[in-house]
Amino acid sequence: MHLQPTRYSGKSLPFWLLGLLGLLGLALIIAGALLSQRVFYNPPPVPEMSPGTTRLEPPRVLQDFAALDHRGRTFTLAQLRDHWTFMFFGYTHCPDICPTTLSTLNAVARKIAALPNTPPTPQYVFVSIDPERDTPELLAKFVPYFNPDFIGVTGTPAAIDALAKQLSVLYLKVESERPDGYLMDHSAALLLIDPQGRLHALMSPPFDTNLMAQDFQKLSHYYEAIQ
Amino acid sequence: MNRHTRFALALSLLGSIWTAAVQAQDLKVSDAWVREAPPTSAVNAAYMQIANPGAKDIAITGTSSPQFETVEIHRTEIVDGMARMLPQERLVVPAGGSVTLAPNGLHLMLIQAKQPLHAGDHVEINLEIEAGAALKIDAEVRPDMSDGIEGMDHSQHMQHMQH
Repeated sequence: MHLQPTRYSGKSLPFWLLGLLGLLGLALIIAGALLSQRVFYNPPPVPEMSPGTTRLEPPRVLQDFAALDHRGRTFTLAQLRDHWTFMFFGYTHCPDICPTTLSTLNAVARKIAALPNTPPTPQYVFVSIDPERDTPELLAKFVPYFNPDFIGVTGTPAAIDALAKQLSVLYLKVESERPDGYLMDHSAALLLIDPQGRLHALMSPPFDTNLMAQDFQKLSHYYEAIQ
Repeated sequence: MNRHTRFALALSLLGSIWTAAVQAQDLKVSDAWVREAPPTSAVNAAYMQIANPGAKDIAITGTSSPQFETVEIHRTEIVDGMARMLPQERLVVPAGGSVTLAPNGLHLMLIQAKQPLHAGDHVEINLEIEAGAALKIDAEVRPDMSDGIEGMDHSQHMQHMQH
């Protein structure tokens, strides 16, 4: 009688082992793929902002609102989509900080346009927190004076309030002795809204127009890289 | 400042014209300008440097201009992200020192222009000194140069606006 390997055990082991090896191999491939993505895929680094700029992570999604631009056309969330928007809240009966900020924005607009590797052209929007006095007609004489491309926005007090609240913009009427001479206290920050209509960053005074243009370039490039 | 204070001040001025004249001369105003703003603006601002080389503090207690209904001293302040303007009753120029009126800070608020102003125009502003004298200032209307807003840029915008 000679020894013979049992066909049964010889056959059953490779099957069992093959199946296991196959599964193990598959698992290894998947793990490897996942790992290599972790190890070899470099997400673009989060851009470093200047001290005046704060990035919101994640950006804040905004609800629709119904305002008017200085030409009397409807201005809603749709007008904030497909391009970046610099937004400032102020009023035309403001002698100092509002015209100063509009001049600042005009300088930012020029600097962004002059940057190498030009980022997409943003729009610039001045929202009145004094809709009682700031009609579209009055904004039309005020806002484009600083730059013909700038957009003035006003609307019903409720519409302005709805927009301001979502952007954490505060404002307050300060009565004066002069009739119709009241002043407004208001948030001084500039808001940056991304092409999805989300609040993406805040810029606080004192404004440095060179740094603002650079921050915008970095943010817009980063935004495109992670899409 | 109410009417009574003004009247009381006017009376007190009479007695101190000589002192006042000396004091007013002690203030040296330089680089006075008014921002070129949309001609329809209800309000505007004037900026300048005021130096006091004398040995006594000098307080400016009133401001006026024949080209505006009212001129007030204000200070823009940004606290916790909120911008506000604080009317100032007086502006003290310290002895041997100076105060700067500049965008986003101290400024003269020009209210209700009697005629629209354009770049190159001149605005007469009167500073009333506490002791009674007045100092007449000539401020030129010009574009805000605080961030390299070139005059050319601005004139282009002006032309655009007229279309």
